[in-house]
Amino acid sequence: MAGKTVRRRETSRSTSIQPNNIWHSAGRPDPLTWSPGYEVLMSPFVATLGREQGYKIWRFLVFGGITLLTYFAFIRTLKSIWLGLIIALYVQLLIEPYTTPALQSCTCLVLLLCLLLLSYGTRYLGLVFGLLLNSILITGAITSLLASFSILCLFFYARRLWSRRFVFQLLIGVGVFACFIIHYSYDLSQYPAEALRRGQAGLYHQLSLYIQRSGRSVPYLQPGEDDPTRGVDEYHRHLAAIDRYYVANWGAKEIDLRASIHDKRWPAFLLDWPWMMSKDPKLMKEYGSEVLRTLEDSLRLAFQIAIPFGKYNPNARPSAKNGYALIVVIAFVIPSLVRLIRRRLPLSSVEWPSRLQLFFLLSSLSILVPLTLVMPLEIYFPPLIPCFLSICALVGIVAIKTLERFRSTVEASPQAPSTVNQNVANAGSTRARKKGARRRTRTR
Amino acid sequence: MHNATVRRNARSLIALHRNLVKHLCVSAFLLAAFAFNFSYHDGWKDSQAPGDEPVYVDTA
Repeated sequence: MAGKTVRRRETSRSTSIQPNNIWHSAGRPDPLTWSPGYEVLMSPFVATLGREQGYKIWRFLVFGGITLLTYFAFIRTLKSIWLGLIIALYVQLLIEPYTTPALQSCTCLVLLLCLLLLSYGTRYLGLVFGLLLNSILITGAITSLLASFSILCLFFYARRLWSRRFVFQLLIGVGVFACFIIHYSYDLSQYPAEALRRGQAGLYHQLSLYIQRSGRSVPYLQPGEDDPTRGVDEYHRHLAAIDRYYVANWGAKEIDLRASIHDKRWPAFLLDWPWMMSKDPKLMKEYGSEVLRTLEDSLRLAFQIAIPFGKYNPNARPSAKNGYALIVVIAFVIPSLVRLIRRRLPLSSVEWPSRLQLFFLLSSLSILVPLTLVMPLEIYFPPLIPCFLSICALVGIVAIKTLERFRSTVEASPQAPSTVNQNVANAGSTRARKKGARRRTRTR
Repeated sequence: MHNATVRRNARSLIALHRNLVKHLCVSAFLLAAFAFNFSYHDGWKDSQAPGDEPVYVDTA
């Protein structure tokens, strides 16, 4: 299948989650993993329909929800059913949601819901903040979005933030968040430390993978360690050698290194990058280049499409992909072309997204910051789908507005065919009127 | 005056009904298209949980 041809990297330790990767808190019998909100949303399906069937239905609902919310969010935003329909069909063709964890698609769903609520202006702004606050329990990446969107709203909508409606809506969100925290006895003061530990774990894991891929761990292998008959993959065979590399060059094992921040002069969200640069500059420079290369690849891979018929290989035919993007833009402007040909039809009522929505979409780009500090793999890109679709929609709006400006220019010019037609019609009606008058005179 | 209000309300109700029918039809079409795409991407086959999803399913 087309989805399986996408190049993938190893992204996690799959099922072997380390104890310190778990959201643990005192007094809770079952420790939750990194996304407790996501598990709570999924649990009714898995509990009632079973592991396999429940997960399939959950995935179907999440992806189907993305389609429907895309349609409603964009028809509300752009005031055009046609554009909403085309964008909703387009999002179905993106390979990304089908090949990535449904967790990321769930985040995308939340962001689309926020976009829909923001299409009503500042009316539901409090609900949007409440929703974003609760989404931190689905993925920590929302934190950067919440921070940047709050700052933008404080600057440009400060008066709205003190309205009674906003405070009431926000309190609903805070109430749900508080109930969740109390129900699972989660110590909220631990959140920054937990988030930092998650970031550190991800970064050190990706660094270890890079150490193994770049061959740096090979000199530290002991006899028999790299034996393929051991029944584990290459990365796991090299784990001990990677640890020896860390001890030799960084002074401690991976598990000890990622347990704390070593240079406290820098902000914690930088995940100790400055300290790492001073410790092993050659490795970190190479890793930095790898991160930038991955970002470029991920942007290309994340938003490619697979049409559900014919033999389509997205990796082999970049020219075909450009062709499909062109088809989407043409599809956007079809109604405007019809209006241009049949001039009596009124101009389209397509509108630009509001400033608030643009702020929200800009803020959603901040998700890229923590991703870039660790490794921007394409599986983490579904939250950027609303932003990508908005860019497509903006291209469509520019095309539509250009066509309509062309039509207005043509109609306004003195030699315009429409004016000529109008003159012909007027002349025709004058002739008819004269004929009628003559007939009336004859009958008299 | 009363008749005018009734007529205006009736007109807005008819418009609402038309919009509702339109959106329902489009939504049904989109869901049908999505069901087709989902099955094309092996959505109904077993073991389609990438990355850490199996861990989340186990915990859920």
